[in-house]
Amino acid sequence: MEGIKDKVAIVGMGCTKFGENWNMSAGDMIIDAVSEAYEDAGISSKDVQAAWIGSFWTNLPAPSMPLATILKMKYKPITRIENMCATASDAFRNAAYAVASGVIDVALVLGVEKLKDSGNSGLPTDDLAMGNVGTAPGTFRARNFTAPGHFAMLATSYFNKYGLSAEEGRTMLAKIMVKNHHNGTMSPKAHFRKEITVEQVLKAPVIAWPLGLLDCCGVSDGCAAAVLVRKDMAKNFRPDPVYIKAMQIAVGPCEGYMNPKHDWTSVKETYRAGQAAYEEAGIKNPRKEISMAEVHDCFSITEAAIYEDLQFSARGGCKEDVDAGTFELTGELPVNMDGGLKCFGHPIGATGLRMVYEVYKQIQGKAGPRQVKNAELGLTHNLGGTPGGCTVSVIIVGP
Amino acid sequence: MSEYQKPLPIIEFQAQKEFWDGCKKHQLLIQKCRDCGEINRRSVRMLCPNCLSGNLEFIQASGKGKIYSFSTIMAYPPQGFQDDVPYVVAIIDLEEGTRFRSNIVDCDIDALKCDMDVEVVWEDITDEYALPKFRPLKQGS
Repeated sequence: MEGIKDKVAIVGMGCTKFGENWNMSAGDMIIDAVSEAYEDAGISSKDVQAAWIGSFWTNLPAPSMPLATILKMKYKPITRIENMCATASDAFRNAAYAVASGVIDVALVLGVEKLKDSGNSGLPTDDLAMGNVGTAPGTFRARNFTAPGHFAMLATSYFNKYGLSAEEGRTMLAKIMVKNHHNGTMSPKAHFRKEITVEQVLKAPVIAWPLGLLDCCGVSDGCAAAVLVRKDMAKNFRPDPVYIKAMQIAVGPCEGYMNPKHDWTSVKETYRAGQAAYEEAGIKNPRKEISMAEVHDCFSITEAAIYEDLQFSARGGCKEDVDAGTFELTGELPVNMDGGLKCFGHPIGATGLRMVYEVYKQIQGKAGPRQVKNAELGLTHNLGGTPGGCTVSVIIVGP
Repeated sequence: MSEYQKPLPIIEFQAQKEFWDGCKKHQLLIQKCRDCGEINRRSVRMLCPNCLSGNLEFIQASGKGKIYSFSTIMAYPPQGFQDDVPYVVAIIDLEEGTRFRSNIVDCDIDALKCDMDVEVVWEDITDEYALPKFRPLKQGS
């Protein structure tokens, strides 16, 4: 198996401001993000040979068709992708494989979601959400479990396994959220741009014990886009293209809900996707070789488990590394440099490409006050589902 | 009990009906394959997930197990569950070597711990359905 390493380049990217974009339709956001990506790559729709659009809930009837009109891509091949919260990452993956195959020279990929129009303060209704997963035919229904509740069980297990009191565990998690909010203050496109304190996190209303309000990411609208081309064409577009080094997805069989051997201090899909991506990119020591990472901090505990599953931290070593500032912007391995889902919110179909946007800008040295030193290999981790069974994408890009 | 407002089970094939009929009789049933002997750890199936045999039987679980993990939902429950807040969701490891997602009821929420012994308790929700829930096992029982 040859793998994707150094076959496909990103030559343009765009991203809208994430937030409560009441004044914008999904189409408006698509135009904004794609226009930025086109300008960045120096192209227009007429140069694009095929497009992939990722969207989960957005009410786009026949979602591929608006692209043909909005982006003036009449009669071109357009594909809509859905893979839960890893939707944008999977759209990126499909577009990259098309380019790697040699069939498509220039591909457009975008992810878009308008969550704020759903009529709910959280995610759209449980019936809609769980109709896709928890209540699908042939599954045990768990109708009063919530998304925070599922991830909270990861925290309960983690605290139990490593002997952390609720206060010790919650403080460890709070520090991760304080870090992400600090980074978010430097992200003009983030939804939330305020510093928070550990005390504020600990005293916030509890949503699903042991997780409080500030352990949870926000709900936002947003769109991000990328232009992909073959490696040998990349320098025709820009002097500093960013190359795909690895691109893996692991989809779990939901064993966490069934098999007593399944340990809920870890998300197996993250570990597997990470291992496969490291192998594809030829990475032996992720903590040393990865310069920075954008990871799926839908909840504080998710980021803690990711550190260990991606082998940035030893098992049970999260607290020590968090206390040492390892993952801060100035630390050994900066994580969520732009503020993560915590500050951008999580427009489901857009998040994965927002992550790639940040590492792309970092590698080009264009991240402004958030710029990390020696930004070379950047990793994105995008998780769809719950710790008991999910889809995880790990993408590694570099110069 | 006709005013029950929360979601009801969806029955699509015979084995699912047998499972819920067991619940109505306050029997927690799990499937076992007569051919390969595996306990079906997944939801009720027509075929054995291990060997694809259709020769499955239901066995009655003891209803005893341990809390593997849990969370107390304090806000934003799904539609229909607003009046239940706060309530406990949990993963229970059953004695028979499989897991079950349910609620912990009749408990002191602040005293709940992982590995705590629990037993099934039944909530009769309609004339046709009872839901298996779990409560901490009383000392000495």
